Amino acid sequence: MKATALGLLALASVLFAGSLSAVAVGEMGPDFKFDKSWNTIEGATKLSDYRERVVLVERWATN
Amino acid sequence: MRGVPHLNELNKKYRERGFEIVAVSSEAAGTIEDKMVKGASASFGVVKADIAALYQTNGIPHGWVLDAEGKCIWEGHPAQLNDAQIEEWIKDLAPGKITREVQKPLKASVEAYNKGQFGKAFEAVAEHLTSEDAKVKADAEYVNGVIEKRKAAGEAKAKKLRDAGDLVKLLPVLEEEAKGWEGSEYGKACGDEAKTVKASKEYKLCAKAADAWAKLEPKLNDLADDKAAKALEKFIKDFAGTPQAKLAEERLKDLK
Repeated sequence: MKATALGLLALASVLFAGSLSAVAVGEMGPDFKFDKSWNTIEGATKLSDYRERVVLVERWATN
Repeated sequence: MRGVPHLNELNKKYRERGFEIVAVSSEAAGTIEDKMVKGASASFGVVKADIAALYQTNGIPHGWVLDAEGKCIWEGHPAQLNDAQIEEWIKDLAPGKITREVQKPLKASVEAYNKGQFGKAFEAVAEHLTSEDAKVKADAEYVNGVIEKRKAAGEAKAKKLRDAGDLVKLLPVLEEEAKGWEGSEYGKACGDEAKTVKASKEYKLCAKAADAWAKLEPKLNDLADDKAAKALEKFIKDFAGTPQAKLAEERLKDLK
C-alpha cells in the first residue's frame, strides 16, 4: 500500500514536472482561454485572438 | 496593484498602435473586479484564467511580451517596461481596423480598408486629400496615413523574409499583398514577384529544405552525437543558403 502510494507520488511528480514550463525568449507563448474578461478588445476570448498585435501577458494577484 | 498607473499609461499611449496588455489572475471573478478593475481603475485588458502551469514564474507580478506571431520577445517585471522598447516592438506592426468615425466622403475608403481592399481604399481616399472642407481633408490625411503605414508594414514583412532567404514564407505574404493591393502598382509588383519566386529553383530548394528539416529535426536527439553531426553536415551541404541550413549550422555548433 505504502509502495503504491510512493509510486503514485513519483509518477505524479514526473507528470507534473513534464507539464510545467517557463516561457523563455524565443519560444512560442502558449495560448489560453479567458474564463472571464474586462476591458479586452472586441470579443476576444483567448490569447490567440490578439495575433497580429504585440501583447504583454502579465500574471498578477491581489495577495 | 502598485503597477497599475504605469500599465494604464502604456495602454493609453500604445493600444491604438497595436500594443495590448492582458493582465491575468486566477482569483475569483469578484475579487478581480473589485480590486483591479474598479478598485485600482485598470483601463487595460484584465482576464480571469489559470496559466500558472503554462507561464511559470518564481515571483508575481511577472510579464511576457509576445510578438505578432505569438513568439516571446521579452520577459521580466512589468515595471521595467519602457517606451523605447515598446516603440521598437510595434514599429513594423500592421495597423488594425479603422474604428474612428470619419466624414461621409471618406466612408467608402474606410470600408474598403477594413475589408482588406487596400488598393481600392488608397484610390478612394486620393481625391479628398485636396478637399476644401478642412474636416474632410484632415480625415483624408488620417486615413491615407493608416493605409500607407499598412503598406510599409507589408513591405517590411516581405523584406525581412526576402533577406532571410525564407522563400517558403515569403510567397504567401506576396500573394496576400497582391490580393489586398489589387489595382495598384504595388499590388502588381507583389504579384509579379510572387510568380518569379514560385517559378525559381531557390523556392523549390527552400520548400524541400523545410520538408526535410521537419523530418530530420525531431530525430536528432535520438541519434548518437557523431551520427547527428554527419546528418547535419549533409543537410547543410544539400540545402545551402536556406534558413533551415542556418538552423542546422546552429545545431551542429551546439553539438560540438
